Amino acid sequence: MINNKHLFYLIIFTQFGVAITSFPNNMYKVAGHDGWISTLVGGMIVQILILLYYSLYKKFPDKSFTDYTKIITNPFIGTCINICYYAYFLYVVLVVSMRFSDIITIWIFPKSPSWLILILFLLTAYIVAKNDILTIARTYVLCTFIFLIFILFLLSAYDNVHIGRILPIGQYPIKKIGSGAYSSFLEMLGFEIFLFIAPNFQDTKKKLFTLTFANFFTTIFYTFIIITSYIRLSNKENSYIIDPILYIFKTYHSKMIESLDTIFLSLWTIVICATVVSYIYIVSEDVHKRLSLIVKNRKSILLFIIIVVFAFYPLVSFHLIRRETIVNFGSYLDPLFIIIIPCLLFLINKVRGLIN
Amino acid sequence: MEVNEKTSMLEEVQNEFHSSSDFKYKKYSIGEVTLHLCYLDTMIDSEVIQTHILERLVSKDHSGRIITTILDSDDAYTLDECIQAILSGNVIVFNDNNKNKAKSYSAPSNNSDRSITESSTETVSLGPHDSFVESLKINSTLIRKRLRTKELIIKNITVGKKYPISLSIIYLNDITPQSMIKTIEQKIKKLELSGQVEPKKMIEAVHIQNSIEEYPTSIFPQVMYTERPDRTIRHLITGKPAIIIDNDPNALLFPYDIYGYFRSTEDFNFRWLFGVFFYSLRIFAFWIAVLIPSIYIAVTTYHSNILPVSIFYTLKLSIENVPLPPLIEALTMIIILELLKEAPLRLPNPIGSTIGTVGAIVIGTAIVQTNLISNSMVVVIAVTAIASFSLPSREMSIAARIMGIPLLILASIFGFIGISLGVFMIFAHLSKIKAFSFRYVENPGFSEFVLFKNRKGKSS
Repeated sequence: MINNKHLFYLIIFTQFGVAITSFPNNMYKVAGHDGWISTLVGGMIVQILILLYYSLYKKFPDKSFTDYTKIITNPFIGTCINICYYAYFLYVVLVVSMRFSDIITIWIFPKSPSWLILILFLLTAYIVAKNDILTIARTYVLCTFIFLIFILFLLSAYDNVHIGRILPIGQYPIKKIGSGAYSSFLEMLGFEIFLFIAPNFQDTKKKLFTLTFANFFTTIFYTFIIITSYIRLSNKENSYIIDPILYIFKTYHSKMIESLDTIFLSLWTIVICATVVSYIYIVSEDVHKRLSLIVKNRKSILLFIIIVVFAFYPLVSFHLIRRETIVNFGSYLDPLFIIIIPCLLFLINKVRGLIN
Repeated sequence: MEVNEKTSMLEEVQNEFHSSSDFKYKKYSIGEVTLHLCYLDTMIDSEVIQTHILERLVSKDHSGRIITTILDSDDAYTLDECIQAILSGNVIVFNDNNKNKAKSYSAPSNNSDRSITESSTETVSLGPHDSFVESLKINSTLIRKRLRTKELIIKNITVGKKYPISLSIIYLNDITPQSMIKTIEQKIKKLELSGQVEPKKMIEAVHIQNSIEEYPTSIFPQVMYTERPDRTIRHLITGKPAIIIDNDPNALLFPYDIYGYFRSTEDFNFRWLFGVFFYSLRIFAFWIAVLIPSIYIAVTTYHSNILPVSIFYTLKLSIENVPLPPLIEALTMIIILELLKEAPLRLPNPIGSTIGTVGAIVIGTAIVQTNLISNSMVVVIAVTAIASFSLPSREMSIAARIMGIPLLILASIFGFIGISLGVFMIFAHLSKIKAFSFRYVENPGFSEFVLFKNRKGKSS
């Protein structure tokens, strides 16, 4: 049973992930130096979705999302939707792990075999995810120090900033800022796990407040990152450098320590792993609930998931499937699973309520 | 055992013990009354028999019973009861009229008790210096003396069929949940029935620790062994029980959290700021002991780019001429360190101090001069050792050093990534451990230091 504090940490650790290093660059491509406005707007989109999710949750408290797909539609369609969701989550895990092994190869271990690191990464995720949800949440609470270190590192970039680089504010057209908001919203995914872990909630009040606060934290943090990147690096640098955050950290010099990027990435590995843990926990737990008669042990499902994810690695590394294909696939899947299906379910439920 | 019809219980008792030389049988007749005394004279204070049993007898009326005595007395009807009573230091008295019914008077000898001395494993500079001894009774006294409340319950139970041992569960009745006491008692009782310990071994503290812990396979200790009564009291007043075993100078404090292992009782006797400082220092020392060797390995093997040039050269100079890979170097040093720690313990004191010389000068200096181990590695392992020894609990200090080894291996293969993922796994493991409703890692408990409590206005 998890309380509000645990819910908060579960959500922020799932929201922050591997995308953070390249986030300012992605935003710069879309919305120029007004990307930070887009981030704030993106946070508002997330907030609207959270309200929607919350009203869904209020309709069916103590039930998981996979339960009420069946109730709202019918068991068959519901099962289909659920299977799609499982596949989608596995896809997210796959993308995150691929991106993780890429970043590690580029920034830390250019010559090491990345499959070995991926094995350790997935194994850790397995070991953590085989615990119950409360243990996972408590583990995240213990890992909060990473965010403090991250903020500290970001502050170190402020010795050479030029605020004029984000001026004038609002130079880009609203359309661009809007599409930037959409892409920043895609980076903030992870709050949807709220619907799936709902059966584990303690009966506490102020859930919506917790969710809002988590979203607020994430939005502010992303904005902070993006502003730091924009005022630290010149506009040209911002448009070319793929991982600006790591680049900023790499340029740090002092008498004690240099290239903070290595330290940051190593610590951030925990947060990336936490994202994977959240998703594979949800999938394994839910599948286990449905198939408890066939599969006695949740660990075997977890192991299966890990192996499936890892099985994609050779396919990608031997270019049988192009990496871009996999990643681009996400631009169709994300809106479908995060926005459209929950919205449809919500509408169907509303209409049904009106008819009855 | 059934008492034979023909022989009396007195004769049976004599039969059972007849080959032990310390078994004594005395017969006293005063007037019409004849009393038979049976006891083991190694377990009995003969003066007590003289003053409390025999002298009472002389001044008795003619009913043939000892009227008033301060000694614990009990009726014994069966042979088993008699034997148990004799073995635990009682005197069995038979009356001539009825040799099948006995009265047992406890008159245990105090000669074998160690006097209360200062604890050698948990010394403090500020605060009480007494520590537990081997006698359960004295230990209970030490606790009872401090906690003058009627809520303090000292519950004696005996476990073990073949080799019974007595132990006490001590708790405060008003704040400790009864279900917790019951569960612990059941678990200890189960030890007797399970057959894992007896008859080949005797039940000892470690078996009890194993049976009450929820995760006995974990590397982290969950039962605190302490010799200090004040630490025990501090534990009791938080509503958790303590177990004291007879003939063992350690109290077992059970639902214990990890932060307790970093807290010395001294911390609470200092001014609050000093207490907080030393407490935080020890938490930091724990992580140093766990992480420093693996961080060093990771930096020298993979991540030398995080060092500025000046530090890098210093480091490089020291490791340049060493032919061994850093992992082997580290493992060698860890083994040498453990040996250096272990050897003086086994030697008598005057010789033991030479080990320090051998360790510091001969091994420490020579190993560097021969380029077997690098200078910096010696420094790193020494810092690890110092950090781990600064923890108040011996078990936690061992746990910290042992936990460093898998991290060391991870670091030598995966660098920093291995360390951070390893730490993530350790965190997950730590958050899993719990006992009853108490989590192993819950809050660091800074509020226990006096000042914080007053500020918040919480009075207890």
